[in-house]
Amino acid sequence: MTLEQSVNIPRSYYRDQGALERELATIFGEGWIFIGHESEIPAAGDYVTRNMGANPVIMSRTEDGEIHVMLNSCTHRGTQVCKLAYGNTTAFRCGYHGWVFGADGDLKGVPGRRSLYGPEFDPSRLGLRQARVAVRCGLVFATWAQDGLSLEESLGDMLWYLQGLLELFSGGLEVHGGAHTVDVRGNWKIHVENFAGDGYHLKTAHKTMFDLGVVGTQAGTVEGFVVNDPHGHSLRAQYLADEGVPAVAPGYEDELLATIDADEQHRRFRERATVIHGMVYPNLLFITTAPLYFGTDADGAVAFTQLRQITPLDPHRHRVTYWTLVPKDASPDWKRRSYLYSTRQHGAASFFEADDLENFRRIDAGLGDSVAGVAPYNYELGLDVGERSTPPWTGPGRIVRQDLTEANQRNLVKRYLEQMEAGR
Amino acid sequence: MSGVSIELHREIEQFLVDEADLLDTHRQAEWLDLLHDDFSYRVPVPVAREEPTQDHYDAVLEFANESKSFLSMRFQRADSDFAWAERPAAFVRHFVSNLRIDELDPGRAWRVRTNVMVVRARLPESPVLASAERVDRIERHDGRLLLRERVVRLDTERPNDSQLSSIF
Ligand code: FES
Ligand SMILES: [Fe+2]
Repeated sequence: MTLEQSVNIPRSYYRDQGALERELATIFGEGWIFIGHESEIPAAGDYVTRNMGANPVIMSRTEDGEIHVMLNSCTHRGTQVCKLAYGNTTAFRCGYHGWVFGADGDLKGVPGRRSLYGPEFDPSRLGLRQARVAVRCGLVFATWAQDGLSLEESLGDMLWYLQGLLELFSGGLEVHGGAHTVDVRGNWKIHVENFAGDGYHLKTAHKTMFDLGVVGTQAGTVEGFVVNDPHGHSLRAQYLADEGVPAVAPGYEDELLATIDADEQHRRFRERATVIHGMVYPNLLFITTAPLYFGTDADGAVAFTQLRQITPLDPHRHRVTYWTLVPKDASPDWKRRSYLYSTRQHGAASFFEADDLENFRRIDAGLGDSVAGVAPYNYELGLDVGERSTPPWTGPGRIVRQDLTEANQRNLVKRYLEQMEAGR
Repeated sequence: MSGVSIELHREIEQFLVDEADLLDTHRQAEWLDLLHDDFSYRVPVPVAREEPTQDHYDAVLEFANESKSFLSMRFQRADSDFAWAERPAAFVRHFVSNLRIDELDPGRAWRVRTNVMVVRARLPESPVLASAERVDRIERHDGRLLLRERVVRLDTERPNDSQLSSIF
């Protein structure tokens, strides 16, 4: 008996400009989009510039501590008012005619306002376009939809898992250093699907890493599970099956483990986990891994947590923004090592990443056209195979007791197609 | 001239030319042989600053931070048929110029700056150019010059993945 159907997504969704326009209008235009972490802008006047779909935005903190996300475009003639990746300022001055906007986006100054503009001119209508902002687990999300689902509703079952990832330690996590961006080849959805739960590619795409023995704990006896939720969110978690391994989140200092402040199920979600990765629909990716071993470096092996935001540039290219998160209360040396391992294993120049990026560009090169390139991709992995062992935790969402399955990708594509077809 | 003898200038220049040749011809084992055991290779993330005189490179964020043992693994991997991103091997060409030498420890250690242009071509991508300044520390051990440290200061705030996949 088939309990679940596979999905059919036309290949044209990976190469058509028209499809991208619809994605930007619906998926990126209406949904909650991850912009950054609140620790990136701790002080009043701090700001970073980011992409929100095709829109350049500024995420800033005002005097009263509020976080704003607004379009980086002057309301006079549209010039970008902020050119830097990050900084601290009391005002953004447009370089064209000199309009000045506050950290909250309000229009504060207009050269020649009294003499050159008439009595009807109303600066209060001319602030930077504001997005609706909400913060959960330190993650700042924004949406252009002024009403509609709250962030909490939109995160659905994934919120529980984000709490397990980001709020395990009482001090919480913070961004180490900041964010950086790299532009890569391939439709943005390829990268997102990979993070959603592709355990299947590891032994082929990353074969050399297993051969070199650098995947550490992930090469042992492990059991994996995937979780998804109707909003399109996904997660894959893998655990050491060996009962002899201590029941802790591997790769953290003892002093830090002592600060764990989480309920039993959240603890069990992290204990003995070798890797947990996934995505918050549509374009926030996350991964946290247990120690990896790189060469003979005495620098020790520690865990790391990385976030990525994926932004389409055109149908064939996307932009990746990378963050490494570290527990606030970890020692400075632990933070440095965690960042080092994050760079070496999952940085844009790392060879683990090189295998993935190579596959993304080969998918792009193999797309074909509307005559020959029409066979849809296959998503049948794990269908009708039967579920296996029981996960160590109980939590919300649809938990699939299988590691090598495309259940998450099917769920993701289903959600994506619902949105894309609704807009037609 | 940078205050070092013409002979030393020539010797260091030749060292860098030979080193680039090894990289361009994929003779990785020989290249590793030019590295000091404590070699470090770093590519800090470039950042645009309002003030032109402020440092253009982040103090914490790095695209790459590699040691000699890490690099040898990377090359060991390139020998495998399963190193998808290395097979077939890319066409790589280094252009090394504008040599500047500052002596750090007389006769033993120098800070050596060069401008480099690296061309990398590998289908299905079009050839990519990457331009950078390299800041090396070169040391003499038992008469031989060895590369002790290399910092690559890329000339773009937002490189693409192909630009990042070369060794500069
Ligand atoms: S475009 Fe900004 S002031 Fe005119
Ligand atoms: Fe991968």
